[in-house]
Amino acid sequence: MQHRLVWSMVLTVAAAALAGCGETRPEGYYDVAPQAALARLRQADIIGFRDARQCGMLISFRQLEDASGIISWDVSSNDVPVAGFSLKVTPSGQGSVIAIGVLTGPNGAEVYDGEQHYTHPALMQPLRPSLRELVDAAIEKRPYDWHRLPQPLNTDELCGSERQNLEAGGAVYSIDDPQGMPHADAEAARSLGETLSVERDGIPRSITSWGK
Amino acid sequence: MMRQALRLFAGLASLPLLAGCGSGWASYAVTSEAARHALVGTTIPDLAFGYEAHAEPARPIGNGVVWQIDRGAGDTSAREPLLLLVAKLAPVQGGTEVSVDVQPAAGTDRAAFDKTVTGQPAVHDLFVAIASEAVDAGLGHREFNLARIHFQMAVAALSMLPQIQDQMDRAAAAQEQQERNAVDEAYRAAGQ
Repeated sequence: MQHRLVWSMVLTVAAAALAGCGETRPEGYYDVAPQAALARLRQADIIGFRDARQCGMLISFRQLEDASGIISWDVSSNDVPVAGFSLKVTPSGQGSVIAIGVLTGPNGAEVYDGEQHYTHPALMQPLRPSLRELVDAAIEKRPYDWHRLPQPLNTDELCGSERQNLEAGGAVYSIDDPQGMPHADAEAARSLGETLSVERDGIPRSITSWGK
Repeated sequence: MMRQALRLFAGLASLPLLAGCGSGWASYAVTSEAARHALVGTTIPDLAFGYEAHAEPARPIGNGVVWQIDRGAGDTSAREPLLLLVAKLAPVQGGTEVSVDVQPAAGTDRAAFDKTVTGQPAVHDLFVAIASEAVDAGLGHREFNLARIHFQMAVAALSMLPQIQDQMDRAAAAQEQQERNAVDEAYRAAGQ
């Protein structure tokens, strides 16, 4: 009898522990209802994100939203696509899970995954952690804060050096100029009649389906 | 002036931290005239100021001598008066009493100087210690001994740590703002 009582207690404790495990919140969970989460994501500080993560090219963001609760941003420079990402909101308990989708590049890998090399980089790598901060900031209704990003902040040296030149108020880079050449230098060369060869990274136009 | 003083004090923080001693006044068994004669022309090594400042040789004033401390130890063209270390000589029974004081250099803002000095008593004490050691070395006909001001250096450096951190934070924030402005200007110029 005593033996059964002990086992009963053990099983009760184990069941409670397992129930506790089951309540572990999924990755990307926010204690905000889906509609409220979507509303906050629509107001995400995309300019703060741009300022914190761009390289030396001027880029623009086009925000799209579909009926299934996915908000996407197409990133382009001079109308040439350079990146794209999406945020998908799904209900989870009393809150929401916000998943991040990133455009797949021509080599089959996610763009700006921390391992990619571009002739005309637009954003610092890795992109995903910087997007999580975009979501966190939006849900918390605060400006984008790069100080919250985990290391490494950037794995792309070309991007970093072009960004430094842009921030110093000197050089702006263009996707229509050769790799690493400041736009002013390219214009000067063209004015002298030089024909400049411009590389392309082949980033697709937009996210056509979730994460692709 | 305040920023210059902060830079000087920040430079002092890099000096070795060893124990020593210093005082604000002392008596010497020499006449005031002999004391003044011995002190005029004496110098203070730049290392005492962490190579952030330079002391001109002592020159006579009415009742003592003064060392003018200029910002910028190495580059003479960049030097500008920062403050004065004053040694006042008063005849007393059997000799001369020497008291030291820290005063603003001519042309500097007295109110800002006083605010800095009262807000940073440890730094004031360091300058007093430097002046006292300069007097003691001059009247003792010996070299300036840095070991005798190391304690005050250590205390001053520790007392300045919050200000140094704050100054670094503000400099970083200003740099970030400047960079943001440059980026904003680039987008404005491009019409985006």
